Amino acid sequence: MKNFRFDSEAWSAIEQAASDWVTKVDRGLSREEQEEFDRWLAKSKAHEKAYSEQKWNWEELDRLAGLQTAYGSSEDPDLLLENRSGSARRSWFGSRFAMVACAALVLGAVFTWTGLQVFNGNAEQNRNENVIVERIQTRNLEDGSSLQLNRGAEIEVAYSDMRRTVRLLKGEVNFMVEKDPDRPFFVEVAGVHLRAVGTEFNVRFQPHEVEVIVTEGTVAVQSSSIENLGSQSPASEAFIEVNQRVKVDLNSDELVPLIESISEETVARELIWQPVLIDFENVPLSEIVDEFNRRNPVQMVIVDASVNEARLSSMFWSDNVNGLIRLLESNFEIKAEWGEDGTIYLFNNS
Amino acid sequence: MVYRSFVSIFLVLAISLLSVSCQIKEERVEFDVKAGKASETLKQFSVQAGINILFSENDLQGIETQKISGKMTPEMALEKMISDSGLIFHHDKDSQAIAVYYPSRN
Repeated sequence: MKNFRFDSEAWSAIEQAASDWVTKVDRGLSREEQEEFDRWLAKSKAHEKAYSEQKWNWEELDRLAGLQTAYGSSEDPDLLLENRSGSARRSWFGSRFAMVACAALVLGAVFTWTGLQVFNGNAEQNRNENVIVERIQTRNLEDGSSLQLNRGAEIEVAYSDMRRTVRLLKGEVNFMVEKDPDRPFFVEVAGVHLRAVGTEFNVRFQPHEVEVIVTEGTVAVQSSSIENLGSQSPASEAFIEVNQRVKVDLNSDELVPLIESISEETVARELIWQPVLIDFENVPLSEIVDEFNRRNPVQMVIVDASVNEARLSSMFWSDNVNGLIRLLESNFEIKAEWGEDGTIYLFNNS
Repeated sequence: MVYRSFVSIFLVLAISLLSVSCQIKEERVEFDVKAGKASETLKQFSVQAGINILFSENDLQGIETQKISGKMTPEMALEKMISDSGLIFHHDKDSQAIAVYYPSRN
């Protein structure tokens, strides 16, 4: 990541501003505020960093505040103050509430678990509950745009009447953007700003770089202030098209976007994480395992070759590793064991 | 204080109940699968139901399934399809995946 010169006073001021923005965003921004916020955020990477940190802190506090509100039906305006009056009383109050809430949560969890056992009576006996391989999430936005979030990705959506903005905070997302000439679609990631001219592109945010691949239409890339993005200074934008990739080195001072053409095979390889429905017909398990291994970070290894004797057919989403393992275990005499590194070993269990 | 405690517990239990009932309730889907060879019709069912499916070709050899048509839950549809075939199924609801198999051949 790019380094910032440390200036504690300046940083405190930025933190304070970031904290103010988190509060405002939480209560909802007016159109003017949204634009002011976008400008402030785009002004410096330090602003983005401070905002992310303050937002994280706020979410922690927000959860507690939410519990308190649910219980006491009154908000605490001093919640964020360091020296709060009446803190001892509230501490006692809070701990009593925490105990009640915990008890209720435990009861709720037990009830839910019990209920599921009752209503899902044919649940398999030998299911391995240790590991859950997360599936790819799809998020449909209000304008009809659809995002696929790779495992671990985090986003923040900020739509206003004037523009649609998605901030990629972490990980990788594939964007399928619904066209709306009156409300341009922007993606902000670590000081890099993208404007969707076309409809489909993939953005990967890694600690050292941002990478964008376009699969349909055109994307405008700029790595400085967002105010310059668009018609105000089109010369400052870099446009990437289908089968092109842009990389921005986050360790460089200028954050210059480097564009390169790539083959369709490379595009397919880079986007292989996106779930597809795979049709297997009369194949040995090893063929299914190979395809899942190609498409998922979690790897499966067949330990007993005898499990390959059965010919299997299936229609399976490529990210549904859990489903495949559970069915193999419950109905096909296969035992799965998880290694420390997350590898799944498949044994003959007959 | 006691009243508020009960309210809190009640709310959490109510949310849990709702969660359980949501998981039990299966969405009804429009199906249209003709009668035919099980290894082919089960995949058509899978696509229409939006549920993953896995089966052994050996289990399904020579087995035909019934026609299904209309709006019903995936489980109802599959029960109807494989009725009188000797096949049974296991639905893993957490992962939205179904295994169809012939018990006596396993």
